[in-house]
Order: sequence, then structure tokens, then C-alpha cells
Amino acid sequence: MLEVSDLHAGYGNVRVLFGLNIKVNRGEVHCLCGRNGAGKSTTLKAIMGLVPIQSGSVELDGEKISSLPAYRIPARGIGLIPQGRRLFSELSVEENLQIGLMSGQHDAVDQHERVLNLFPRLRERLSQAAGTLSGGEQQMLAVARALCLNPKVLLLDEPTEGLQPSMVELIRAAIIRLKNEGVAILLVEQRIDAVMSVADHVSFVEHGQTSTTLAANEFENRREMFSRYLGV
Amino acid sequence: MDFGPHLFLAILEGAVTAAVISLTAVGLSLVFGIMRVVNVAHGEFFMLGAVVAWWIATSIGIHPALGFTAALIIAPIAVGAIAALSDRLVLSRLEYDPERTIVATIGLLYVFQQATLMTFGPDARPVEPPFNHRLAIPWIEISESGLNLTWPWGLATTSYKLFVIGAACIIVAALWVFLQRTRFGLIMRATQLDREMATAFGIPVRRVYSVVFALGAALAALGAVLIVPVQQAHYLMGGDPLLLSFIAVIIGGLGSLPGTILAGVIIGMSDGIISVFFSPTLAKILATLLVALVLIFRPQGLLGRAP
Ligand SMILES: Nc1ncnc2c1ncn2[C@@H]1O[C@H](COP(=O)(O)OP(=O)(O)OP(=O)(O)O)[C@@H](O)[C@H]1O
Ligand SMILES: [Mg+2]
Repeated sequence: MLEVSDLHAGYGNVRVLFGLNIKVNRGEVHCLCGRNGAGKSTTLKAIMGLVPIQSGSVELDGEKISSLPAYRIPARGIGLIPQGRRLFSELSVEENLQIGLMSGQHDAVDQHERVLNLFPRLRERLSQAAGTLSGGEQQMLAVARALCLNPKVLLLDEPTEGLQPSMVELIRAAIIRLKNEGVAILLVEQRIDAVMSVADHVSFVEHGQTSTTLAANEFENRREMFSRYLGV
Repeated sequence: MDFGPHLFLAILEGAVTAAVISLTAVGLSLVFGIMRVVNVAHGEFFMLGAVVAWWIATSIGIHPALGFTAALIIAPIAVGAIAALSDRLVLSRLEYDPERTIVATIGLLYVFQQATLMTFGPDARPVEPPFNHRLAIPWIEISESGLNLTWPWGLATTSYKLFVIGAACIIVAALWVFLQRTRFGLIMRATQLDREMATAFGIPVRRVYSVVFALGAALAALGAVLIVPVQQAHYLMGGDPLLLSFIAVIIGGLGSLPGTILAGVIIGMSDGIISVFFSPTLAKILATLLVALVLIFRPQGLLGRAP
């Protein structure tokens, strides 16, 4: 479904990615692990077209989306939950969702309902400014905003960063549910337990390259890889 | 004449200036707030608005009201189109870099000014107001026999000036509703808050910028069309509105529309009042001094958020 091939990208003169390869299939969770600064967030941004690509390609269902202007990519069915949430903090919860609904190719009213059913706590706070939500609620909104696009592919960048265990569990449950609905999920995650429990594949990123990709059944035998890349 | 009636007249004059400054400054503030572009050519969009208004009014010329109404509609659209073109040709090619766009808009300022000088000429040209009834202003006097309504001699305004004040209020209110209640307004506010995330959710930021730049210029042009029956069109008339708009934007708080409007009213009022009692130059000096004071004691502006 989503295929990143030999991706080279960076910011201006700063090269960050040097030949990165990832493949995510329908209904699959693919984790991206790597040390701080390895280029995980940059990878997700490059897929969204937010970082200039020097060479290589990103394909979605066989269509080369890396040659589209960035603003057309979400409508192809890719939703981003960025690191640090990046909500439109002065807009209300409802307005944040409306932004998410703009590019979705689906019945907006329906999708709005579905997303709020997934996160009932947001329904009570629709008119509140996003920036005044608690950390957990903000993360819910970041997920909800991306789901408003009704994405085929979801990119999540450390969604559990700084959350309490019950909130982590909620996010995990949402990921599993989406996976079962057939969404392809690319997840950047640094917590080994979280990775092990949801991932179908794990790619390790080092110096802007994917060094190794493991399937779920290999996780136990290759625990040393996790310790090496996650520093645990 | 007594001081009271005189002050009242000065306040009315000030309100006219305030109305025009607020409109113009709101345009500058939108462009700065959303695009982070300091548009030094903003005053020239004001000037172009007045010149286009003169041109439309004189070429229609059946009845002043008809020409003026046409100018009120066409001039902002024409100036907005010029601005959108400048955005495509210049600003977007500079990637909206904050520093380079300052230099580029200084360039645009001279291009517009000289092009106007070459075509429109160096003369100031009047536009006839659509209506211009002289309205005497009543004053209440306290005398031994109680309160007396009097009509002090020479104390008058015109219906057109009242119209300018009213029109500016309506335009600003309409803009507010547009920003807060419409889909495009939401897109503009989201773009202002986080350009990258806006793109990640499918907002074509460059197109939004073109529209915002056009809208900012159109607001300046509207201010100019409103004032040109009082002030005359001239190719150098963009200087004062640029200065006063900058002052309003800085005092109000960068990017804060309510702050800009509040500051526009304060600046316009004090400009009107000080000009009536003392001199226009003193008014500009005091306004600039006010900027310095605000920058020292409240750097984020009156209604701006502390960083
Ligand atoms: N806007 C930017 N301009 C220049 N360099 C950047 C920019 N954003 C990130 N970088 C650099 O790119 C490299 C990769 O950053 P990236 O955010 O992708 O890392 P990451 O793997 O997500 O790290 P973390 O685990 O800390 O989130 C870093 O060296 C970083 O300094
Ligand atoms: Mg990161």
C-alpha cells in the first residue's frame, strides 16, 4: 500500500535521510524505531511532502505521491499525527476537526460522528480552545483530527509521548482497531513494550537509513536490536 | 467658539481618520499575521485604490453617486488583483522569506508610485462625494434658564463623513464575521497558526497567501475610496496611511486584529484631535512617540500576547 523507496531528503543543505526503504501493507502496523535525531520524524514529514525530497519515491497504491504538491497528499488518504501534537491551539476542538474534515473524501457529517464516538471526551469539549485541553485530550484530538480524513494510511509520530498508562492504553486500542479496519499504520515509537505488542514489522532507522526490518515472529530472538536502537 | 463644541468637531474629524486608518491597518495586520510579510508597499495599495477610484468616477461621470458606487466595488477588486499578481510574481518566488520580502515590497512601492506618476501625473485630483449635505451640529449650553439647545455658528460636519465612519464599521464587522464564521476564514486562521500543519491537512497555503495579500490590499483600497472624496487622489498619498497603519499594528500587537482596530481608533482620533487643535505634524510626532513607549513598556502591543 505505502511504499517508500530509496528516499533521500533533508532541510535545505542539511541532508537527513540517505536511502530509506519502508513498505506498509493494509491492516498492518509498521514501527519505526531509532535514536533521537535518527530521522524518524523527517521520514513522516517527507511522506507528507513537507520536507523536500532529493531522490527516491513515495508511492501509495502504485501512485507516485512524492511528485504531488504537499497539500494534495492528505486527500489521497494519508493522515499525520505529528510529534508534539501540533494542534491549531487557538482554534476550538470543533474547528480542529473541521480542518481535518476538509480534505477527506467522504461524507463529512458521518465521519465527524464516527470520530467523536471513538473519543467521547472530545464531544463534551467541542467549543474549548485546543490549547487549553489536557495533554491526553490533546493527543486524542490529534488522533481524531487525522481520522477525520478517513485515511487509508495513518502516520503516527510518538503518540504516547508523555501520557499516563491509561491514556497509552486508549491510543493503543485505537491503533489496533484501525488496523483491524484495514488501515495501514506507520508508527514511530520508542517504548519497547508498546512496539512489541502492536507491531507487525519493525524497521530500525540509523543515520537516515533503514538498517534492519524485522517481522513480529523475529522480535524475541532479536531483542538485542531493540536494546541497541532504543537504548533500553 | 467654545472649547466643548470645538472638541466635538475634532472628535468627529478624528473618527473619520480613525475609520480609514483602521481599515488600512487591518489589511496590513492580516498580511503580517498570516503571511509574516511586512508589506512596505501597503500604502501604495491605498494610493492605487484612490487613483483607480478617481479614474472610474471620472470615466463614468453620469452622476457622482453612480461613479462612486462603481469605484467602491471595482477599485478594491482591481487593487486586490494587482496585489495577487505581485504575490505570484514576487513574494511567492522569495518563499515569503521575512527579510527578503521587506526589500521586495520596498521595490514594489517605487514601482507603483512611479508607474502612477507616469500615467496619472503629479497632480492631486478630486473625486466628487456621492452625497454631501452639510449637517449643523447642535450643542447643549447650560445657562441660567437651564439647558439650551443651540446651533453654534460654523459647527458642522457632512453627511458623507458620517457615511465614512459607518461604512468602515460595517466593513470591519463583515471581515470579523468572515474570519470567524466562514470556511475560508477558518482556513486563514489555521494557516496563520501553523503553516506546515495546514499543508499536512490539505490546505494550499500558497493560494491562501495570494488571497490574503489581495484581501489586505483590497482593505487599504477600500479605505482610500472612502477618503478620496475628502482628500483627493495623489501619487504620493500612500506615505501617511503606511506610517499610521504600521503604528497601529505595532501598538495593537502584531497580528492581533482587535488590537489593530483599537490602536487604529486611538491613533486616528488623536491624529484628528491634535491636528485640529495644534498641527498635523505634532500628531504624527506624538503617534511615533507612543510607539516608542509601547515598545518599551508593553513590547507585545496593547492586545498582543506575550511571547
Ligand atoms: N526544520 C529542520 N531544519 C533543519 N534540520 C532539522 C529540522 N528538523 C529536524 N532537523 C534535523 O534532522 C535530524 C533528524 O530529525 P528528526 O526530527 O527526524 O529526528 P527523530 O528521529 O524524529 O528524533 P526524535 O526521536 O528526537 O524525535 C536531526 O539531526 C535534526 O536536527
Ligand atoms: Mg521525532
